[in-house]
Amino acid sequence: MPTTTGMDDVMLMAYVDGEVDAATAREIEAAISSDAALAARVAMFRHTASLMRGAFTEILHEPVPERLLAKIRAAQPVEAAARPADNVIALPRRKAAVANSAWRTAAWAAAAAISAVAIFAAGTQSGLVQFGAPPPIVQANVTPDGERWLENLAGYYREYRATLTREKRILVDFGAEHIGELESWFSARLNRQIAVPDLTQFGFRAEGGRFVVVAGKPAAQFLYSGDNEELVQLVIAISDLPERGGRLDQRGDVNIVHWRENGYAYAFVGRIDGKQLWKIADMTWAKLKPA
Amino acid sequence: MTAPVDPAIQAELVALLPRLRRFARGLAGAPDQADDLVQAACERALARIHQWTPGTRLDSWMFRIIQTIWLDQKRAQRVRTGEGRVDADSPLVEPELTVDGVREMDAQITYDAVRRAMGQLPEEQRAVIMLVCVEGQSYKEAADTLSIPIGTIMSRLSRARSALARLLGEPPTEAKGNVVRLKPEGN
Repeated sequence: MPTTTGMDDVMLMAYVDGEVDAATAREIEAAISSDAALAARVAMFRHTASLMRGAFTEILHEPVPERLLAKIRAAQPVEAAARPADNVIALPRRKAAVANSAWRTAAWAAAAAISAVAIFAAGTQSGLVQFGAPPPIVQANVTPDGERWLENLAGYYREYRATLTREKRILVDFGAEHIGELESWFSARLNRQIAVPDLTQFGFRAEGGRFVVVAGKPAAQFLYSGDNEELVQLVIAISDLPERGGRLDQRGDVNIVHWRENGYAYAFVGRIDGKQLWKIADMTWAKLKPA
Repeated sequence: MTAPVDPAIQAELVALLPRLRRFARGLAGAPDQADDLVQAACERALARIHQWTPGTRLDSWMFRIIQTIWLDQKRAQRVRTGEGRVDADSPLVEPELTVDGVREMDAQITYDAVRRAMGQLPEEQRAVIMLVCVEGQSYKEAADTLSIPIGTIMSRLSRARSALARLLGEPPTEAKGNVVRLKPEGN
C-alpha cells in the first residue's frame, strides 16, 4: 500500500529481508524513524518472519518416517552391484580421525566422487538417521551475503589451529578455569544467557573463549581441543538474518555446521569429519537456545 | 521408478528429507498429508532424475516438485467439489479470525497458531513464505525455485505476511486506532 512517504509494503518488506541496497535502506530507515505507522509495518514484517521460522524449526529435528527413507532407498543405485555391501556398514562406527582420512582418500567407495555424501549414504543405509540426517556439503562458489561470515570463521579457525600446532597452546581471553566468568561476560555482551556446552562426550574439552566480531556485532567464540591437536570452535553471534536449519558447509579443509535461530547465528567449526561435527551440533543445538 | 539412481543423489535426497518435510508441512498443514506429499515428490524425482541438472540445487528442484504436486492435488480437489479456480493473487478472502482466541499479544501467539494460520493463506502464497522466511531463500532464489517472476514473489510474500499478522491478531500498528490501514492489500 503506498503511503505518504512513498514507501509501500513491498519495499518495507524487502528492507526487512535484506533485499534492498544500502542507499535505499538508509532512506527507509530515515522514513521509519519519523513515521510510527511505517515503523509498525516494518516490525510486522520482521515479526511474521520470525514467527514463521520459529513455527517450522522443530520439525527439522523430528525423526524422518521410515516410509520416506524406504522410498528413496528402494531406487536402485547405479553402482550397487559394484559396491561391496560390507564397506557401507562399517564406516559410521569409525572414530572421527579415521573417518576423516577415509573422507579424503575415499578409495573404498568407488561410487563416491563426492566422498562426504557417500559417508552419509553409508550412515543412512545402516539406520543411523536419528535426528535429521546430515545435509550434503555445500561447496559454494558464490557465498551469499548472509553467509560471508563462514569465510571469516574458517580463517579464525586456521589461525588458531596453526597456533596450537606451532606453540602447543591456544590463545583465549578467558581460559577453561574461568568458564563461569566467561559465561557471564558473554551473556552481558550478547544480551542472553550463554552457557559453554560440554563436549567431553565427543572427545573435546573446553579451552576457553574469545571475544570476536561478526558482521560488526559482538560474538562469542569458544574453543575446544581434542586428541591429535584437533580443534573445534563454537561461535555464537547476534544476527538479524532469517532463521535457517542446520547446514554443513566446507571452506577448504574446514567443515562448518551452522544455523540461525531466534536472532542468533551459530556455527561449529572444525577439521573433524563433517558427520561428526554435524552430530555435535545436532546434540547441542537445543541447549544453545536462549532460556 | 526403478531407474538407476546415483547413490550420491540418493544420499543427498535422504539428507534433504527433514527440510522437504518441513516445506510440505507449510503447504499441507497436516503431518500425514505433508509426508504423503514428500513421498510422492520423491517418487517423481527418482523417476525423473535425468531431468535434474547436476550442479544446480537439488533442494530447490525438490521444493518445486512438492509445490507442483500440491497445487495439482488442490486443483483436482476443486474440480471434484465443483469449486472454481482461485487465483493465487486474488485478495485473501477475509477469513474468520478464529485462531482460538490467540489474538491479544505477541507472547500468546503460539507457533501452533502460526502453523494453523498458514492453512488459511491462499495455497500459492504458502510456498513463497516458506521459501523466503523459513528456508532463507532470497527473492531471486525463490523466483527461480518456483519459476515465477520476482515481482510475484514479492507481492505474494507481502500479502502472506500481512494476512498472517492479521490472522494472528497482531496489533497492526503501534499507533492505536489505526487498524484500518492494514486492510487494503492490492496495490
